[in-house]
Amino acid sequence: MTAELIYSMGTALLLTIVIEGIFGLAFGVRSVRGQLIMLLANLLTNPLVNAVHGFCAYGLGLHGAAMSIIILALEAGAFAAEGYVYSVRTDIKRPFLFSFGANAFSYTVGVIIGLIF
Amino acid sequence: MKRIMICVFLCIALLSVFGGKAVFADAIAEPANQFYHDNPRECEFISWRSFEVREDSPLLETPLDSVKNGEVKKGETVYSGFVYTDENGVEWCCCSFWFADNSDERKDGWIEKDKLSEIYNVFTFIDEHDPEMTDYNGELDGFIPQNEVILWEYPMGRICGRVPADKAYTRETYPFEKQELGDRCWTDEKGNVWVYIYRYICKGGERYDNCWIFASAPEAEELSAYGYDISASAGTAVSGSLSISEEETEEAYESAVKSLNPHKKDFILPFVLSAGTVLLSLILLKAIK
Repeated sequence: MTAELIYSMGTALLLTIVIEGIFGLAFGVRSVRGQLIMLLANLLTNPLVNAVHGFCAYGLGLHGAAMSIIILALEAGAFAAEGYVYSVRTDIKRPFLFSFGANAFSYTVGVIIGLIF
Repeated sequence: MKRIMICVFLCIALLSVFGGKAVFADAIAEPANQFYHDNPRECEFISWRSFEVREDSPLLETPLDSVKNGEVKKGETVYSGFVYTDENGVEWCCCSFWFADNSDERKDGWIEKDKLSEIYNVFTFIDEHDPEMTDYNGELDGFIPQNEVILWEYPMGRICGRVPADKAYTRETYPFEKQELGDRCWTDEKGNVWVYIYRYICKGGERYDNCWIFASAPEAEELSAYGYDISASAGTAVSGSLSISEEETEEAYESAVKSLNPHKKDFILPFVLSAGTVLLSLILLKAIK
């Protein structure tokens, strides 16, 4: 089961990096350095968010509103951390707005992909 | 808007290469067999069911080739939640099998459904009696445990758990968001009410999934006083068309049910790895000028 959890986390990380990378390309982050920083920002937040999310959902068996609150808190933390990274390491003009957009975009695309496939 | 639409189309095109993996970014995919991962839409989810193996069979890595992942012997018990039908119409069950010594080692693989006999279990019961089941309406709210709450696999079936009174929540002490002690109810022909609980959580964190409580007497092991002629240790089929396998032990079943969900210790390595990625990214971010 541990291997499956790690596989899931790895897949989620890879998809997030790809999707947010595309978002970055579309919204002006086109340099190698910029894309690398986006990758590192996701490496900073995504595995930990998924580990906590999985533990709460599958380890503790939480569901419903409690789980929704936890997801909201995790996503807010990720957005804030990534926004801070963009603010200190890139020239993105509105780093927190960019972070919010990238995270919302990756989440939405994930939902769309799940619905389509 | 145009940029966003371009992004969406590029992502869909890119991710279609994965052949339709239902994985959400920033979310965790459901753990499953690799063949299932590759063919989720072709696999029908049937809820986790128990099967007795009818004849010695290989446990195949996928239903499309002969690569073995192990072997199961006649009479052993496997658990399956997914069925795949190949192009010849043959049904295959994606099975999980625990070795007979009830160790935590588990093998997954595919077995032809014809080589398996379904063991009547909670999901079979629910499938059969779903139209008769009603919503929970407080049938257990007045119950205060005195000794030990008895959990049943299904009404008039086997006992699948015993919860000491000091580990059982009451209506007043139940701390979870759901705020209901039960999920659905079923009334048998004698008028006795059984309460189905999707996830029964005990004080201390232990939990039992998909269990039933006899609402008329939640602590009774012996139900003959309520019109039943079964003992607590043996099981019986509610419907006459299916039978219980005598090979399946209660310990193996409990081990299997608990093993279907991750143990807390399964999260240690993922947390360690995620902490490692945090450290690594912080170091690299600092290093980038």
